[in-house]
Amino acid sequence: MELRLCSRLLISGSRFLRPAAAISTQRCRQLSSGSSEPAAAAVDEHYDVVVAGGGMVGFALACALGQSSRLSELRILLLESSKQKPALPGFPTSWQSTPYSNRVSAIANHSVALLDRLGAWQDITAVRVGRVKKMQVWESESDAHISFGSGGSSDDGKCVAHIVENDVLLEALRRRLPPTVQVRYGSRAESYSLPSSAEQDAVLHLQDGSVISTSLLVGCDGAESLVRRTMGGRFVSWDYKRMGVVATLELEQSEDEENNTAWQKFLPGGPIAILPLCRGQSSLVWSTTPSHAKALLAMDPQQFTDAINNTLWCDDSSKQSPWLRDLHQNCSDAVRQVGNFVSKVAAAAPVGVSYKQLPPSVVAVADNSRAAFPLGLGHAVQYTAPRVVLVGDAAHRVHPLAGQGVNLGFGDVAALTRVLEETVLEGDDIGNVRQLYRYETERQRQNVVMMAAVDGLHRLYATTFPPAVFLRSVGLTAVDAFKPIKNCIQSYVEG
Amino acid sequence: RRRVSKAANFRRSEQNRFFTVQANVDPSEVHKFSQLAQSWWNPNGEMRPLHQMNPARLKYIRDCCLSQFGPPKDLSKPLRGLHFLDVGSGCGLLTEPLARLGANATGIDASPEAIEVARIHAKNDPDLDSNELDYQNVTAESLVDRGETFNIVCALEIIEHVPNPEEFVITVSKLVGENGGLFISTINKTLKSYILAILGAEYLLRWVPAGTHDWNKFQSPDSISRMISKTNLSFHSSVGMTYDVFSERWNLNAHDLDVNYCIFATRKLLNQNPTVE
Repeated sequence: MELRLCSRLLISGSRFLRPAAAISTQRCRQLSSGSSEPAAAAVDEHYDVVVAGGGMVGFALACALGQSSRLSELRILLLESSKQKPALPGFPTSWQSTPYSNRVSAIANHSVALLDRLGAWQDITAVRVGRVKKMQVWESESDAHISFGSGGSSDDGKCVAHIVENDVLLEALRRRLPPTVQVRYGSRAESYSLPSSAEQDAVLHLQDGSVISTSLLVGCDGAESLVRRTMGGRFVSWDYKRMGVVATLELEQSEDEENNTAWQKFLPGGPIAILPLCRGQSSLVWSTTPSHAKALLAMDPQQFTDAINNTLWCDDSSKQSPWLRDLHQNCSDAVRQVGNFVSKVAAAAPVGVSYKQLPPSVVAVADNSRAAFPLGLGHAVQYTAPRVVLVGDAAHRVHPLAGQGVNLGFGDVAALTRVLEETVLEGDDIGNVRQLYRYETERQRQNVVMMAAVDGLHRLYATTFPPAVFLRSVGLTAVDAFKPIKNCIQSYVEG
Repeated sequence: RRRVSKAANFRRSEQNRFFTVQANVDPSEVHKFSQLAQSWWNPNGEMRPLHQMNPARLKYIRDCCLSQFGPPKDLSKPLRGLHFLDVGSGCGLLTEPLARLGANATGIDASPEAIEVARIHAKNDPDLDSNELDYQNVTAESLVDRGETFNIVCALEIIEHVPNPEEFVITVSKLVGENGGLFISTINKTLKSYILAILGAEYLLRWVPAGTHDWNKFQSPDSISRMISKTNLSFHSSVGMTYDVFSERWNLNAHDLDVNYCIFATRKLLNQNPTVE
């Protein structure tokens, strides 16, 4: 009964439908076929939990575990390979005057709730955070568009999402780490020895020669995770053959205009997104082909700004033949009328606006803010093995078009913390696979659905085939017009 | 007509090597569980239902300890400071979690194989201190003879395996210290329990080996309460345990004691009128 929307991707959700499914001991042995059994080598230290990787998700997990009163007896270690940055005095106010970083993340409301519980959200808002009150999505091949959120001033009402710089988030989490959690900077594991059953500990061999054993190893080491590769399970992945170009932009805005709208335009090469940071400044995330990305990075700032403005303002719907355009217009009008009628009957509150708003003009790009990174999809078929669990990008990697990457990771953090608290409450071993499967099942149900949807959107908008363009634009108009469906999607995306 | 259980077959082939006739122990039952000792800790082996039942049993134990002894000082070790006795501990399926929750846990079982497996398994976890967890191959009667008492005595899923249930309840009640409590869990003697626990679990679904339980030895909550009333303990509360097939979890249900259930009885304090529940 599995849905086959993206068949390879959904096969990868092995615990999708069966909760805490039985697993044979034979499969457990296969999982560690790539690694040796924990050797009889002397172990220097033992920790209950080792978090391998000090990114946003790794630090969030270490905070959550360290701050939990049920888990107060656990000895936790976080290993981060980069050197420790000296703490800037005067945080958060001293950061307010620094230039914006070009790596930002869209934080959904459930992630905001987690960061608030950890105490980091108030530090983040004290520095700076962009509020997305409205989001407009449209495409270059037709006039169809959809908008989410209700607009309004930045100070009141709910946000669709918040835009936070990755550095700010990381620093805020670092400051909320309880002193009981040990952190080792400049520390990287050279190899892992993972057991085939929970009767032995997981062992880490660090680059400096020390050996650490642990009851639970958490892999938060990113998309190229060594923990996942040592686990040896199946990993479904493909390269989108796209690069994400990021930059910080200056917009043309008057004094009384608020910058609280996110703009996303789908192009055949990939979507271009403008995310609000503060009045007059926004962050650019442009997914495009590698050759185009290289060209964009090589352009001088004025050419770059012109390229963005042309892309946002001009569209190719004039390339469509007239009869197709008329058919499209008639269908869209009909769908919109039906949708409005259904929405009235369903008494759904109006969300968004039905007319297409004009995107902003980009005036300049901040110096040294342009960069590019490759885009791909990845999903581990198994998140867990005896004494090991994967969290964040180590388990799943998505296209940034829906801004969900780090939000899925924060969802993993909340779920794993809850599962470990229940495990300790039941007096069970935290490395017990039966308990860790509950985390895997719960998260795969969320992650696989989201990844399939994002991948589906990417494929849907990558084509210029006229029937496909027609169907997707009528479909988009329909979703925009049928308010109950739009409300559903908006609440799912907001989290 | 009397149904001859497979347990009777064991009786014919085994000798009683370890225990005298005075002990309230059925050697065939002991042998049956000794055979299972090696697979006890396999969460998908013959003891799978017990593994799955643990979270529900522990929740009830924690909640009753909360009401009996007040809130714990340390949320991560809610049973700290309490001495627990697990009668019929088997390979320590309940005793280990009790020790992890902070209790000073002693497990006793008539089967030497089970005690040996329990001790070996406890060594896997370096956090299980030998001061907090102890296994002994003795019977409840010998502990009574030694005059030992405990804050909480757990006799879970054992009363349906002993030859004389009334005497068993009297014996274990003597091991409960002042202001302490006794947990007894077993399966109810109803048509529903025959269909689910015997036919369903043993023959149709094969969740447990056939012959594990004898329906004639099941006790209803009322008969357990009557046995408790003959001791110096008084009935405190009871709860049923129901199995959700879809989520594969056991849930506590105060109203459905038709199959699995657990009773909590407390020792009356001296000079105190028994409270009416």
